[in-house]
Amino acid sequence: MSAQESKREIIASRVREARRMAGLSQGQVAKMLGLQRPSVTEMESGNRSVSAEELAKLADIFDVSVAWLLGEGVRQLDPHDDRLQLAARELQKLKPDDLNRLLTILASMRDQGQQP
Amino acid sequence: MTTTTTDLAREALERSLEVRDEHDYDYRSPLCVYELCDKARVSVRFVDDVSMEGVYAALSKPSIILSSLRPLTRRAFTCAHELGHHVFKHGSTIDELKDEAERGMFNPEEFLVDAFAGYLLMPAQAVKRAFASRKFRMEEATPEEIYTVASSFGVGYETLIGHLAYGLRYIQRDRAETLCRTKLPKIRERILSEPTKEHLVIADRHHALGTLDAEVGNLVLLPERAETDSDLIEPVKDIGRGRVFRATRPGLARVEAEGFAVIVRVSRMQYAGLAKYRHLEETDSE
Repeated sequence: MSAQESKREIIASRVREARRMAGLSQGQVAKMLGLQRPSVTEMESGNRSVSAEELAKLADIFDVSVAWLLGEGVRQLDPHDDRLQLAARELQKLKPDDLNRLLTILASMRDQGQQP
Repeated sequence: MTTTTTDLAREALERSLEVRDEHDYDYRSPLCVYELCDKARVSVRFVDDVSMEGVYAALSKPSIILSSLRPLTRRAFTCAHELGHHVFKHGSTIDELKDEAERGMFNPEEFLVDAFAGYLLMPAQAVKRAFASRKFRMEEATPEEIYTVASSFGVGYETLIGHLAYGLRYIQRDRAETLCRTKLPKIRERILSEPTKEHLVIADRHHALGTLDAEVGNLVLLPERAETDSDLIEPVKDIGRGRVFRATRPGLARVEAEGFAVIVRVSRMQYAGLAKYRHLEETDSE
């Protein structure tokens, strides 16, 4: 697999994951982008490239960072990262899998880091 | 100087009213906490694969993550609670949070934002108005009446009772305990005159919010002769208290009756996704 194909596959899987986390169907995303549903299906299967403009729109629709959609940065935040500031009353009760899932969701969100 | 729970409650009350002011909400009406979060530029996301109530993350775009596995009314209160963390600029590292929890001491931040959530969603004026407009007497209100008022604020039955007793001190503690002994299935049965396992949301003629949130499968009690041209909710039966509908699929349904109008906003059961999309209709091509 070429580097370009590999990149396209990463973007395809991130778009699919971000869409599901946003609670949207392919049809709904297509409507927001002004495309037909098969175009989104093709994006998510890696058979269609995603333009820079579409990536920016998708990041906005899904409330994730463009960098995360491109497969850059970490897939899951480091629980010992001091920049990650949370308020969570039940954190100590979270099972390891739940905490990992939470850190994965947070990693997808735009511009992780401290509040300005 | 020691901060007492009374000081914290006062701080929570003052800040809740300031937040209402900042976002153009009066003190007399219920509000939609998700709409408020949107105005405050706080992202709200529901998840169905993490077992927890909610988390606030002080990211560059502040975010709240809520479990969609909790009841609809619980989610709204938890959202207000997490918004409180944002408003009071709370935030700790995961290691600090674990240390605090292990010490098991009273957590003033949690008390503060719980009180904030209560005052934000159910300000004193709005609560008094909700009872008075229905001619319900707070001290003698039946469980069905309390349930109706709770539904008008989008909060749970016991949440309203707790706020009446401990936040506003409008009812005595023993009265609150007595009310809490009546369980939700019994209240729904009394209202509908038959038992049901479905969640019931109510908007009567005094419903002050222009919207009513429900999930697919929920029963929705609206005033008698209520009509809608939408098939998102379908009529089930007429009872003495009004017309019962069932929510069938996501979207927005406008409902009208004489002197009454409300938008019923239906989301998927235990919807996972961004709050802003929870009522989007499925497209034709699904």
